[in-house]
Amino acid sequence: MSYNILVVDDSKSMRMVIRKTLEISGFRIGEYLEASNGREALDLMEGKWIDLILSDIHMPVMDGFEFIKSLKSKRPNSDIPVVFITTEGNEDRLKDLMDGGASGYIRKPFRPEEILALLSRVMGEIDVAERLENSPEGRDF
Amino acid sequence: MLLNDWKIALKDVISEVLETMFFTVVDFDGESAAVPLRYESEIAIFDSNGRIGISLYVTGQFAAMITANLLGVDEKGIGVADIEDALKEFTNMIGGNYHARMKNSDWSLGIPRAWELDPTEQEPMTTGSTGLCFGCFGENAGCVSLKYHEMARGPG
Repeated sequence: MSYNILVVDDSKSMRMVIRKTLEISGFRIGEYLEASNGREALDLMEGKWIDLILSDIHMPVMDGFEFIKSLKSKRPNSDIPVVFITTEGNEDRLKDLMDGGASGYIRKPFRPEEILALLSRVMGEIDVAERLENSPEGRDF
Repeated sequence: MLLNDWKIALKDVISEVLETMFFTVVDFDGESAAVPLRYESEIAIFDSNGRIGISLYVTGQFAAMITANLLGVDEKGIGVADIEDALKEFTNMIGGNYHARMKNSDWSLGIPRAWELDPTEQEPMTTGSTGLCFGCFGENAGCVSLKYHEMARGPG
């Protein structure tokens, strides 16, 4: 099974880093979509089937808090797991995100194995992080 | 930890961010960046009483190297827009991690920005003028400053 993934981040660099991290790990990507803020992501999702969302918090136009609030307010999008990849350092605000329906978060800077371990847990897989460790590319990552 | 020991905190934060995501090691032994610094970036951490501004200045060579490392591409293939975007993210991570060390929920992290300085503004900087400079592979690479601005209050 492959996953349709939506990455929401105003940084083109981070979108590229996340994509490379997933590709090198062997994470099975179906369609890979990118948006630079929450508003753009919601528009992009119209009529699309998304399995997993990876999102930043601090973004212009619509930040991660507004994004998840809007996303979780309406089915079927409310069922999509959302993982935040963020520099947010305020534990209270991170707790608010989890209370608002986030499936998890990871702080930047991150190591590839950290993000893969979290995604494996969220997607109910156990082998993604192991795959990274065992792949020739993964060892050089 | 707020403004006390900010240099120690920023040294740790910059080292961790560069090593983890930019595959780069820096040292803080140098007294100045004797070469012109080409890019500037900044991020604010604020509450209702004031604002902490973290500004970063780096050389063109260092900026290109960490951008290429982050993206996993050759330096020849990157442009100013790529560098500005990578520096913005670098600054974002520095601000976020500094913010996390403050352990004070009243403060919020702003949105970072980065830009190429006008050639007339590209000057060498010193530890004396900025507070903290760093080097990479024996070359001066950049400087960072942290400043606190109290919010202006009206009478009464």
